[in-house]
Amino acid sequence: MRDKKVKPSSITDRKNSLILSFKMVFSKWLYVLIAGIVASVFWILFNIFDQLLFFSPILIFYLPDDAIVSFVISNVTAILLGIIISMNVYVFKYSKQRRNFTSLFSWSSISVISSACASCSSIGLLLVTTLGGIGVSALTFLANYQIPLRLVSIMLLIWAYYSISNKLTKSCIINYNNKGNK
Amino acid sequence: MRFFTLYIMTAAILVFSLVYYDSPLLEKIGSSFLAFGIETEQHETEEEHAMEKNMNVENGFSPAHSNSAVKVFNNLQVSDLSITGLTNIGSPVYGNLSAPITLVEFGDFQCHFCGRFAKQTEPLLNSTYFQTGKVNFVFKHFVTHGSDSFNADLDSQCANDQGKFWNFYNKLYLNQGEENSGWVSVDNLKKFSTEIPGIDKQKFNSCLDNQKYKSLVENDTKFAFGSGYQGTPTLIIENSNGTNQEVLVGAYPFPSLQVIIDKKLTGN
Repeated sequence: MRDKKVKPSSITDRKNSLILSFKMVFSKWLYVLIAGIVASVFWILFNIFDQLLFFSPILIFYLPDDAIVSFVISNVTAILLGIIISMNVYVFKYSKQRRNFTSLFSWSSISVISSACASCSSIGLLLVTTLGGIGVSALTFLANYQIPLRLVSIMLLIWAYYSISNKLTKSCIINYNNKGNK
Repeated sequence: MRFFTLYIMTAAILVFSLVYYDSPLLEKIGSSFLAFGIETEQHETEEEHAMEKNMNVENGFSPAHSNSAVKVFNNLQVSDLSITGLTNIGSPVYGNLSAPITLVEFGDFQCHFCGRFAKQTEPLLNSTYFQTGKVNFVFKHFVTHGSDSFNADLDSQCANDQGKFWNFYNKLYLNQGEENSGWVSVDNLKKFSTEIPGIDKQKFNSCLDNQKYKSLVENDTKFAFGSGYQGTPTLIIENSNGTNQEVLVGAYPFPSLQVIIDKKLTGN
């Protein structure tokens, strides 16, 4: 049995670590609430930038066929942002070691910028008017690569979730597959 | 229980989406889901056909711009947005010239949100207001996406010379490609023109090569920037004499515009 040691870095352990950290944080109402609020705020922001949600003259949400893919991606991003920011707050509160919040925001900002500049929104126009030709190039890049940029953003957020999970569980690596450790 | 709450919150977001969902478009979205990924050339042709039919190019309706075609409008400044002022400077107008309400769109042919407006909102406006003579529709050029957009604008004005602006409008938005990828290069634009029935190609090419409407497009854009319009499409709903303007920036769905137009029509 001794030879049948499970490697601490096995996929199962990582999976357990991800689940454990999630359970650890979201077993408290406060963090569920933070996640919900953050996800809702980003959901609203993304949909305003994508011109799917309008508050004036009437409150309306509509989903044209050209926006389905970006809508799905922005939903995933908003939910991930909610989860990760909430977990970061948890780490801030319970860990002596400080987390670097700036990196998280720079990742999530990829998603926000790509949707805001994705085309003809006022932020996009601001780029054109202030930066001229460079602004047009930047706008074109962000608009044409909007979906890949958002996917990159999701990948980075998944990475952020993984690293925050490690942070939460690293101090006590428990091998759940090893009965001796239970 | 906590996870259940998280799940409920996600569900609430989706419910919110459905509650404020634009129901007339629901069927459209349903069909989009079915068509997703299996879009064929035939589908595009049918869509184009439907759009052209919507614009009543085929069923005898005379777009107002045909009355004002073949005039020289160069170097005229945009002074006001009344229907008389707009037709005088050669802006393409669709619908009844004596309609009480005017909808002005400041758009860019490369802008995806303008494309969305043309495909999703404009057909509903057309059947509800333009065809019934309650509202007329004017297109103004707002070059925000670089030199390719400028070419497209020149091209569309040349088409307007021959009373074909709205055919061109449909053609460009239905064939919209990636921004500044060359889909509206001069050569491609000339190719698009060959696909519009009844257009005098020689006259059209000469108009395009000579940049006949350069100053008109520049003036429109200058006017839009000067007026502080913050993006494309900028939609202005006003009385036809240019008063009582409401400015909306974005690809607003039909119900949003309907609220404003109906309010103006009833005089409230």
